[in-house]
Amino acid sequence: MSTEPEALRPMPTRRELFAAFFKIGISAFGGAMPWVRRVLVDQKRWLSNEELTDILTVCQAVPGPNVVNVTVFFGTRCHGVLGGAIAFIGLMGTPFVLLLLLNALYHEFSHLPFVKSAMYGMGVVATAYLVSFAVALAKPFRRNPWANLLCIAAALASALLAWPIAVVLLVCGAVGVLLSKREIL
Amino acid sequence: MKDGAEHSILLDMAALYVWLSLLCIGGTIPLLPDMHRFFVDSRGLMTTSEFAGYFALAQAAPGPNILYVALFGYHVAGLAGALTTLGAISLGPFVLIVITTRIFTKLQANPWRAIVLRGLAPVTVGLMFAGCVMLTKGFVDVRAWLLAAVALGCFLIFRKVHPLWFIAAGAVIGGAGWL
Repeated sequence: MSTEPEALRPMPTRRELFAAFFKIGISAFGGAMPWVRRVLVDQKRWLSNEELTDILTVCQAVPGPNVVNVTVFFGTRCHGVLGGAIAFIGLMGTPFVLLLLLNALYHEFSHLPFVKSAMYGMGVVATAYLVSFAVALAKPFRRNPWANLLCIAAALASALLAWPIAVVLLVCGAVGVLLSKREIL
Repeated sequence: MKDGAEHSILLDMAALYVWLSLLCIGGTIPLLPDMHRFFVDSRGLMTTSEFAGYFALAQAAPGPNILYVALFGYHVAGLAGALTTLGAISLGPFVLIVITTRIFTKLQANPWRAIVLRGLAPVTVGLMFAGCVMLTKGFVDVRAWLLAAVALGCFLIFRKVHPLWFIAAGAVIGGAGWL
């Protein structure tokens, strides 16, 4: 990576690394990526905005959930494999325990009809949230008819034909990469 | 917990998530159809409503969204299941990212990176829509569709409002017995 701008602070210690990702983990409601930027760039100034964007674009190309990838990447850059593990546990540990507690609480009361129906209502709205999320992700290619066709084809192959994701990615993905290579996408 | 069936389901879940993690481009949402197929359709380990409910519960709690896979694991095999699913989906990416940190600059300069990402984007979004279709299988009647349509409108129009408010509203509407 290019030389660090002077305004950036030195790399964090292991303790600071854990604390930062702990904060990101427990603050993240409905998506952790905005908090990664907020804490690492705005508050701690360990990375510049551009550096984080660079890291993100590479992490997106590596298999795995984005937030896990960025967390492990940053931790590893600071303190090797151990740093990656520290950042990962900092991010996941507390939310994991909290979620299991919340789950236990839910099951404690799940025999009550209104708890069951409240979860049902939450599930319905969460489904709508996912649709809106997908719509937002489709924005960059919305005006491209080929991309829309490919998107619909992938959805149908998975939902209607019940193709496994690997097959959808292989078949539709190959078409996508081919179109993208010829600058049609 | 000690019998063979329990061990084999842990192994099966581990295999599922190690495999899915390697197919994961960006988020885990495009992987939902395969998870649904595993837990609901082929194994009958939970209903679609439970599946959607766990997803919603994880959205309502703090932390990275992918923690919902821990709830699927927990439902099937308790704490061991939760650790198995979360560990399995993280392990492969962890190793790959450690390697990536060493070849970061090379990857950054590779023109294929942008080409592949651009080509895959419509496919992953399509898979996300397919995941949503799976979740709608749990909708009992037209009222759920109506609520989902209204909620979708809210999410698309009021982008500044935190999504949790709408999910909470869904809980209230459901809890009040209107669904």
